[in-house]
Parts: sequence; C-alpha cells; structure tokens
Amino acid sequence: MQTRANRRQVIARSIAIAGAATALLPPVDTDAAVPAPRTDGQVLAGTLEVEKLVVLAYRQVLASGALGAGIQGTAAQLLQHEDEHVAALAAALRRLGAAPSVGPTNVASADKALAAHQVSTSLTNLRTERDCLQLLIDVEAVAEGAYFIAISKLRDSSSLRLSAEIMACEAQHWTALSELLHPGDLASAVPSPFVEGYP
Amino acid sequence: MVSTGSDRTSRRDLLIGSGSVLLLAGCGVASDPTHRELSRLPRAARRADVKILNAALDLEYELIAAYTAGIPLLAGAGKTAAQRFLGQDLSHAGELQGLVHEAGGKSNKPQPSYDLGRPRTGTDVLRLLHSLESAMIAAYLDAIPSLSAGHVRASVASMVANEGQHVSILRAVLGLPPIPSAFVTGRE
Repeated sequence: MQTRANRRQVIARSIAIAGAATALLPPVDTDAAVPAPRTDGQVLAGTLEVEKLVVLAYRQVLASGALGAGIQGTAAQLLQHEDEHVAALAAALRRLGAAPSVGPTNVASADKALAAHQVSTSLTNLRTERDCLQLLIDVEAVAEGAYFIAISKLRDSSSLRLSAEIMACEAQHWTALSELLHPGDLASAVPSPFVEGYP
Repeated sequence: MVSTGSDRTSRRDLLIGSGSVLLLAGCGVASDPTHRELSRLPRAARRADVKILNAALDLEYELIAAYTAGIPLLAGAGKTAAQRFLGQDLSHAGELQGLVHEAGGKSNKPQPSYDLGRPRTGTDVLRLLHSLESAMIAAYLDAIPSLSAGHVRASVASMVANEGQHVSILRAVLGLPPIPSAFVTGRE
C-alpha cells in the first residue's frame, strides 16, 4: 500500500501542476475553456468502473482452480460483497440521474486498467494460490484508492457515506487477503494507520 | 475499568508519543499545499469542521485509554493486535489534532480518566475494544458528509478504513465472522 506521505505528495503535485498550468494560460473570457468540475455522477461512475474490475478479477481467480477449498470459500464470500457494492453504486447513480459505467468487459481490458494503476499482476497469469491472492490484494488496493480520491471530490451526502462504507469494507478485504498470503503477520495485514490504496 | 491509577504513567508516556505524532503532523501541514484548502475556507465552515474533528478526537482519546488500560489483561494474538492498534489510533489522534490546528482551532485534550466499565478478562477487554472501535467508525461516517474540505473528508475516510481493519481483526480474535457485511457502518 502506498504511504500517506507519497499519496499526499501526489495530490499536492497535482494541485501545484494545475496551479502552474492555470498561471501559464492566457486569460480567457469563455467558460468553455475551463474544464467543468466532475459531477458526483461522474465520480461515482469512476468507482463503479473500478468495482467491475474487482468483480472480474475475483471471477477470474475463482475460475482458475488455483485456490485451496478454504481460500476459495473466502474469495467467494468477498466476491459476494463486491457484487453488493456494484448494485449499491448502480442504484446511487440512478438516483443521481447518471449513466452507469461499463467497466472492463474482458481480461485484456482489465489488465490494461490495472496497468494504468501501476499494478503489474495480471488476470491471465494465475498459476498458484499466491498469484491469485496477490492479484486480489492489488485490485482491493486499487479500489481503496478510487474511493479515497472519490471522497475528496463528492458533495452528495449519501454518496459520500456509501463510498466511505464501501472503502472500509475493501480495507477489511485487503486485510483478510493479506493474512492469507502472510499468515500470522499482523504488520503485513494492517500496515498503516491511514488506508489510501493505490492511486 | 477506569483508566487512571497504575496505568496512568504508561498512558502519559503514550500521549507524549502522541505529541510527537502531532509535531510531525504539524510539519506535514505546514509544508503541504493540499492543506491550504482548509485554511482558505470561510471562518464559519472552519469552525464547524473544528467542532466535528474535536468530537472525533474525544472518541479517539477514549479508545486510546481503553487500549492502554486493557492491554495488560490481554495475551497472545489479542495482545499483539491491541498493541499495534494502539499505535495506529495514536496516529489518528495526531492527525485529527493537526487538522484542527490547520482549521485555526484548538484541539481538545484527553480527559483525566474514562469510565470503561469493569472488564475482568481478556475477552471482556476485546469486547470493549470492539464496541469502542465500532462507535468510532459510526462517528467518523456521520462526520464525513458534514466536513467542508475534500482532503479532510478523504483523511477521515482513510482512518475509518483502518478502524474497519481493526474491527475485523478483533472480531476474528473473538471468534466472530471478521467481515460480516459488504458495508462497514460501525453497527455490525
């Protein structure tokens, strides 16, 4: 998981870059030249897209045959949670009058989406239980990061609460999976007081 | 269990540790451009944020007191977890203190003592910690939509997620399902 300082630096850099870019632009009168702020619907659609990526990763892992029976059961339970997240976000988007996002539809597009988050694990290379657990840990961290950013941008109270409740659940998943990968290692399962996931 | 008397010295020591965290958080605030967002908010919004953050800080102090007083009654995995979570909750307190100061407010201080009931066994302590961690989560979730600055909401969410991890480990040690729901509300 990314450290807090690194994450803050990323946010700080993006603000500084945006500020510098604005300073370099010639003054203009038209609103069209200024990018419109993202609506809550657009922000939530982004988190739904990530949730669909997470669901695809779990399905791929469960179909790989690489998991032992106990871990298979845990992964199936966590997938059920992810399906509930997808349903809740889709309902929230309907309430906001926004279109739901499609998300990755196949393994290749899912790998591409993971690469965009600097995740090198792949949905096509699931030979061992360890490969599977590492992939799920990575996609859970991507989800945590998506909610961390979304919560800084959302304005709608219900959407904020829903995002925080789901983010905390993803963090619990992350911890459970890390414990399976590193049994008895609490420092690996709960490494930081601040959960921010991958950017 | 009242967190005074014999455990007081150790809690003070821990709160000195918390002061160090605060010092570090303060340094981060001063050098971090994202934090200018909070100081630019209207005074009324900053005042409201200070009130919300201080209420959360009061709960973190109670949680820290419970961990400090309860750890001597724990053993094995419960003790290892509680020791780790105490350190992380001290970091949360430091973060909240830093955010309060950034908003131009004065952070609340811990109470001299907390009435934590009368836990007699390790299991009693774990149940108490589970209950207080859950209350902390519920309070943070109530707070998030009311906070003005985006980065403050995200910071609080990052702490909610960590408290969720604490609860899942405490539940496992207590023999309960560690992740009972797809939505962490603090009422599981």
